[in-house]
Amino acid sequence: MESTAAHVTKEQVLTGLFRSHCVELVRLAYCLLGDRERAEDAVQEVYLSLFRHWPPRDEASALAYLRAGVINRCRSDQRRLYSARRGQPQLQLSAVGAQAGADAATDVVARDEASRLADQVRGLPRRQREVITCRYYLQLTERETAELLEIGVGSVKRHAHRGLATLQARLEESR
Amino acid sequence: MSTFERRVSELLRGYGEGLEMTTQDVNRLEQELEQKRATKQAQSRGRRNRIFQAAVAACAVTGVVLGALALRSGPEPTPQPAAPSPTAGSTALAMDAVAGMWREETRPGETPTGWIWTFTPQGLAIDSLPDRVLRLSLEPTHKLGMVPGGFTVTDVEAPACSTTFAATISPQGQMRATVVTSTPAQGRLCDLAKGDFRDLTRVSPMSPASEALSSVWPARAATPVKGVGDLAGTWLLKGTGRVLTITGAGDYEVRDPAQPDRNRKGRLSVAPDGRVTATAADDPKCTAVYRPITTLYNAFDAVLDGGGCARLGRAGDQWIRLN
Repeated sequence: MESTAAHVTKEQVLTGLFRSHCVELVRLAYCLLGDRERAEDAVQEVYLSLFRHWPPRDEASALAYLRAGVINRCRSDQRRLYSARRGQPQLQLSAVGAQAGADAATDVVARDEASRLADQVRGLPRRQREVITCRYYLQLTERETAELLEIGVGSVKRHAHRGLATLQARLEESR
Repeated sequence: MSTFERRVSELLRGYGEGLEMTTQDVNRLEQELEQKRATKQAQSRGRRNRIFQAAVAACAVTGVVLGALALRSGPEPTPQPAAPSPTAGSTALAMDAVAGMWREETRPGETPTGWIWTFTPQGLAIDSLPDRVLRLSLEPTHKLGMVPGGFTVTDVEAPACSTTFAATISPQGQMRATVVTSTPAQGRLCDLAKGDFRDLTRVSPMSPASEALSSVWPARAATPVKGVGDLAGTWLLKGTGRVLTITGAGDYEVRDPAQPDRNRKGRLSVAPDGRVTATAADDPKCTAVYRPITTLYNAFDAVLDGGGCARLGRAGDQWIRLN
């Protein structure tokens, strides 16, 4: 059983971690989900998970755990979203797009190039979406991306290449 | 980095950073997090208290079961660290630590699945339909491999579907199986993503956590049993590790890995006056007759009225629905 002192320290460290990384993680989740409320929920769930899986080795491993957790959580969230809409194939893509668009907060932002790109990234296959987000939003190296997603560097290169090619084609089409 | 890559990076950063996060937002999120954490801890404490009370009441029986397990497996397996992935370099999780039947607990806000996870040296079997549960120990749905800190399962019917879990097992007999990796293939458990988890309670052999187990299903109006279909399902004899499976056709099997000599199977029938008769599969003369049974759907009481050769449990029992 944990001592009270250890428990206080655990809470204090968790609070510190939350204050240090919460904004970055909510924005990461927002990139992946396009929905602020779901992004905030995802990040809170991952912190709760970290609390249960205490202690991390150090702050770097805690951040890696949190980032990986957010990406996984967003993946599950998207699966649930798609699963809930299964049986409505005609509505699925437009519904996702509509939600993402609506959550872009304003019509101005929704039309913004950044929002359009984010929508396109969210429309990529799972691995491509995650690799593109890690490489170009988190600005991780190929090796760091590979470690975070637990895939090979070669896979990172392949998914990034395919994802970028798709994005370029779609952005050109939309012009 | 190419011009296009730089552009993608700028736009994505711009999109993410365009989400305004004020100090008030962070404070609000922190307060919400604290509330969620406190709620979960309170739920956990409540569970622990109930388990403790049950464990005190059943300490003698528990000691016997744990002692038997210790004799079979050597030193009692210590709870695995709650790591998000199996621990490299540590020894594989012992089969004895997971062997038996586990009830999948209901996740908050979700309806019960009724899934039973049966771990045997032959594999893992997961199902909720009585007809299949009856055959679980003979027909695993998954190949099972023990790995450091957890286990890997591969769907027998979909060999491309493989999932590795990190397992945390408490001395009370509760397991949290957290997905470490899952192949993106069709198959059971492959719909889970990394970080997803399932909470399980070992019901057979009995564990301290299952001693005072109640059904995850809500009670319904009391209904007299008129046919064997009214009893179809998988049931746990309260206070024991004895599991009774009844199919819609009336086949039944009673199992308890801790007392295999008391395992039974046969057929049930319901007389017009409501009395329920169990007849052993291997001896038509071996029967047990129960007084008319009234079920609440999530539980039923069975009182022996005559015979006893093929009795399902003791003279008077309460059975708790597992699925």
